[in-house]
Amino acid sequence: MNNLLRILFLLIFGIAVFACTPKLFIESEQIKVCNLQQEDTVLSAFISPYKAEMDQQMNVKIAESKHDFLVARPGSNLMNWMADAVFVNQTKNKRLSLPVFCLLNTGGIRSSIGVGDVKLQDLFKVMPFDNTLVWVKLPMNTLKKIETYINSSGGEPISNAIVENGTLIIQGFEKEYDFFWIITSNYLSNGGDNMSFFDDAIETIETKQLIRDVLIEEAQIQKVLQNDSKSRIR
Amino acid sequence: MKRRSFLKKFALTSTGLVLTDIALASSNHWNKKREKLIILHTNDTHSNIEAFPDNHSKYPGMGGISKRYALIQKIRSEESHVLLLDSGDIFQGTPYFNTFNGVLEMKCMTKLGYDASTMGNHDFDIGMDGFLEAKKHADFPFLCANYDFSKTILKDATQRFKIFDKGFIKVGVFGIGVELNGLVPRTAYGDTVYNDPISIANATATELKNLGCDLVICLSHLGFEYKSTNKVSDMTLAENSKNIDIILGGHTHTFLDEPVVKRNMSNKNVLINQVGWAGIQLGRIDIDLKKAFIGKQNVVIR
Repeated sequence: MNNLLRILFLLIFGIAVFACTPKLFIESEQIKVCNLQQEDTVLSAFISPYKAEMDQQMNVKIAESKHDFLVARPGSNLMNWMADAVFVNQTKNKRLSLPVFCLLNTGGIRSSIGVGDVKLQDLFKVMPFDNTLVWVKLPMNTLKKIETYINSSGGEPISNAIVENGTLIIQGFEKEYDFFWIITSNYLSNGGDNMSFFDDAIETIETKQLIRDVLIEEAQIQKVLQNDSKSRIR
Repeated sequence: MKRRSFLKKFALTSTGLVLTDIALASSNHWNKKREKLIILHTNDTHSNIEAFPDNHSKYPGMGGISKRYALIQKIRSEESHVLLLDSGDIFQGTPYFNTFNGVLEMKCMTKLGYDASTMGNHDFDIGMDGFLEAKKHADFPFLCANYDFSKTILKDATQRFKIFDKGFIKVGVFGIGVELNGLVPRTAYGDTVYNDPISIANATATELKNLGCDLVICLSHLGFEYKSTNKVSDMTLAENSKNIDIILGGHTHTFLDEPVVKRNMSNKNVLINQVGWAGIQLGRIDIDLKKAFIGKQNVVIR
């Protein structure tokens, strides 16, 4: 009986404590910033001279595009275009007998390119970083590490190479070599995007050429961006 | 000397998130006036000064700093206690950044009245000297608790935390950054030392509570969540934390439908929020201080 009373007391006490529990209400909203809202005219006026200056520099037509150039793993037309533009630019007037390919990073392509005029600002959006191109010489056994990296990331932009059934194959050379060259960005060769396989580098040649400048140059040469949408990782 | 103990619990209700037991304290202060703390926040704005074009495939007409400002001003006109915070990656993403080296972003954020920000990995993109140059135009502090800049030119440019007095509550805000190695070129971050986010976050949060903060907010650029559990994220930070009430995150560009609630080491709940990127959304967290007084008169925040 005594125990029962004690339990009853604890129960009532418990309910009383619970009822007195103070509450701090939190409400949240993820407010969409969209056309439903007005602009602040004062801030817009402040920005406008900056916009004018930027447009003057950036609104220059470089080429045309007949397709939507998109980034999509494992491989897409924009990934191919970028790697090809770099590879073609870097191997121009060179007789290639050595194994060499281009490897960039999917995460480094920051925008898509739509149909129509391709302006300077579009290429700045695709490649906003001031990264430069480097040639890195690596021992042949590092190829496996790169293969593993690409297979686990799900796809990176490559040119003059394919990944077939999980195997990375460099194209266009015949003899056996115990090394190969990669054309890539200084960001990646310095271990960016966790591409630690570049630690194996035997030799690194800095071209000091900005990747963006190379893309601009190649787009101007192409006039209409070359579209190859077939994935090279397959 | 008043003794305060903080017992916090969040519970999900149909009307939104409820933080219960904010404080059990004895005090004679009893403010009947309806007061709210409004936390507004962004992350990964990435130099998106203008809205996306109307023909944009994913975000037509969305974002734009001028619309964001109008929205913030409207909220400020309605509410008396507003905090405006950013979780980093202010730089990089549009030609505005390439043309003006981050100066316009800093000037605009100052005009919007940001109270504080932390540094994201892309805020190192023009090197620490570039950041320092742009920061001259920022009239708000950069909070970085786990980056040790003491051997770099940023040694006096950032602070670990800042305490804001908002109405009758004290809000402590600090910043936690992502590991730079493998993400940022060594040349860009130089001799910056990256310290363990969880231990630094807990130490800083405890310090802030000891300094009398009623609410502790962590501005994080760690990222919301990763497949690999050994990579520290806002989720793992929350689980392994003590004394942090709210984590406002960034880095992974995560669009959360609503804040996520996670239990911490003391079995108290932590609120995590992130609002995508590019200024497409503005996060708003309202803490209704009046509702905190439901119950007894001796239950107050301060």
